[in-house]
Amino acid sequence: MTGIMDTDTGRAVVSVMCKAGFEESELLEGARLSKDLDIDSTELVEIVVALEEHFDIAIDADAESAFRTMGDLVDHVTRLRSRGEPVGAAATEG
Amino acid sequence: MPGAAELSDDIATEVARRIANPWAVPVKQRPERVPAQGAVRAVGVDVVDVARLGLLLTERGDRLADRLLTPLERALCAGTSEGYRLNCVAGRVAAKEAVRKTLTRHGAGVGWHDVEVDRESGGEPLPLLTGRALEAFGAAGLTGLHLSITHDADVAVAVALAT
Repeated sequence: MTGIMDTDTGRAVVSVMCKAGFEESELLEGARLSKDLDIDSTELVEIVVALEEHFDIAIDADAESAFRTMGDLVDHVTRLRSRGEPVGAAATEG
Repeated sequence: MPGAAELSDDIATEVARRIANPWAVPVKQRPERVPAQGAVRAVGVDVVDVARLGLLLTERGDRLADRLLTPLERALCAGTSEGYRLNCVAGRVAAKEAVRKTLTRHGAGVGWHDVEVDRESGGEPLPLLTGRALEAFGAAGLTGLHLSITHDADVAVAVALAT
């Protein structure tokens, strides 16, 4: 069975995160962003912006605060890409 | 002597308890914790590396700044000095995190724009809560929020006290 990390999107998310300084070997589907990867809220927003730029998508604030694992990130990006989400359409907060 | 008999029963119970589990520590009954009116109920503190944040802002530009700051905060942090702008943004990022921490478990899902850090006429930071932050503030039973931001040695530190 192919996992979500083995998809084109999964590999691309890993690639984006490696550019932000993470090791590919630690970016597993179940890796928890905070507890396993030590990602704080500022790093998470950096990753989210990097993913937005790379995939030409818009990740809204609700989604950002709901990400817990690498799998959550990849899953959300996958869904946005399948929808063909236009840039900026969901970039609302507050 | 009824008193002596009761005491003996207590001792016997205690001896039996210790034989059953010598490591068990009796738990004292604690009085119900009701915070005094106006007492500090939660504290949040956060530190931001100004240089690192500056690097991120250079790399990601307005997109990152827009995500972190409200339009009001961006206007507050606009200035001709790069150092002032960076310290202002870093202070606000630290402040938002500090405030979020005072919301404890209720703060899950609070977005960057749900906590806005305005400035009072005297210069002190003024936290304004909206959306999920405001809901969390109410759910946590908080009534007041105090905030302080300081900058030194390339870091911005914020402390929030909630009453």
